[in-house]
Amino acid sequence: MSEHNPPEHDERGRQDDADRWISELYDDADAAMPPQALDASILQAAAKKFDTPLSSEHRQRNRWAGGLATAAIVVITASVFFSGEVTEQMLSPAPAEIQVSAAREQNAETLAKSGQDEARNGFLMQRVNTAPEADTGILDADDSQLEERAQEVSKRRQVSVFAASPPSNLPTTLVPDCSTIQQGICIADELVFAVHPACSQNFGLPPGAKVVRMQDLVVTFELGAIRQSTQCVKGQWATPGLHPE
Amino acid sequence: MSRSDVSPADQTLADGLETDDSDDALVLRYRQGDSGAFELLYERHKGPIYRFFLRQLAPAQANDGFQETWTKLISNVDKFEPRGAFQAYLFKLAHNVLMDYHRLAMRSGISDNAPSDIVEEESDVAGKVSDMQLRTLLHAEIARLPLNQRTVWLIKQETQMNLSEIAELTGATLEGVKSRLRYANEKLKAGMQRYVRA
Repeated sequence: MSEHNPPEHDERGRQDDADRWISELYDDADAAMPPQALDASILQAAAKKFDTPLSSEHRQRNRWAGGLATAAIVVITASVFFSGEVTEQMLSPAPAEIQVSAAREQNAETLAKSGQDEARNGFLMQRVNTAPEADTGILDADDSQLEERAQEVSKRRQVSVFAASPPSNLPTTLVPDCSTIQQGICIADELVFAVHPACSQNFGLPPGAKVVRMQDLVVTFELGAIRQSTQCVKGQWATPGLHPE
Repeated sequence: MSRSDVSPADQTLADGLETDDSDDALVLRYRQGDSGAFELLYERHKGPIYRFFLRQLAPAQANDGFQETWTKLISNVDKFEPRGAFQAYLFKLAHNVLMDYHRLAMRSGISDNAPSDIVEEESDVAGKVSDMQLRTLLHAEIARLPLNQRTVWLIKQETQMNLSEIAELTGATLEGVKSRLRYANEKLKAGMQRYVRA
């Protein structure tokens, strides 16, 4: 029997004690806290209002865990073989780096024209650590279409589709726990994932850094003349190392 | 009774900031561009606000409601009048967001019955129950409360607010809040008695 038994007292006292017992039971219950992705997203929004940096503690904590908060991510098992309507729009025969670059440029252009919300429609996709051709492409869909297409892919290919803190108007059915996504990316060696190019700072880089390359679980960013990479090692993202271009 | 919501990890963060500052002082600092002040405010209040939603909405909706509340705070922080009632202000925002969700659910023909996955846990219980089960069952009982009773009970549980403040926050009379709280307590007690007597 539980240690939490309602105390026995007289009628009036029992009522008060029972209230207290329930209150204490509630307090003892799991102290549920928001996912780290939400923490990061909200703190970034707060800092952005006044264009101020987060505290160093939070920057560190958010580097990978919460840092992915505003990035939209789609994780699909790499055994998937893309085909059909979705494939035509998502994949291109051009080399991966060209595709990544094009995605970045297209995204920057979109950003300039329509603001960040519009730019969210561009999703950079790459199959990681798989075939040498490293299939890459752009999922250029409206937010309203994204879920439909993701579900279509999911159904047809029996894959898992996730998205972390996507645009606010993206259906919540695509929002899982961010930690799951990190584990999903890092633990499996063969995954397809998509990261919004405009959200490169969410990998822990300063604003302005841009995703250059994602291959073999190595993610490379550029910030001015500096190129920075990080790699998935034993299920964890290694601390990014800096090296001059 | 309300609880302290600072986890060890969060406490480490909070120790690096000026924990003596009042909420109002932190709001003022944040208005001046000190994002660290916002971080401390967030650490202080995120737990109660999150659970306020989590006990009343499905998890995905709870996340959305939680984020929307903080987004509204950030957007409207200049409108906040620092008079020692930041938590009430924050819960007012949360309450408004919650009501929006319920209005939307009603228009969509979805009945109010917060987290269905929790309620279903009851079927697993028979005879003796563990502490963990009791807590789960309490969450189920909370979810069964009518919306207005549940809201008042959760605010009372998660905050230091007195009944007058809760009345102002929820737009109810003081007597109304007392009544809701009393009914909520009675229902929770009645509900929990079934399990602890087994």
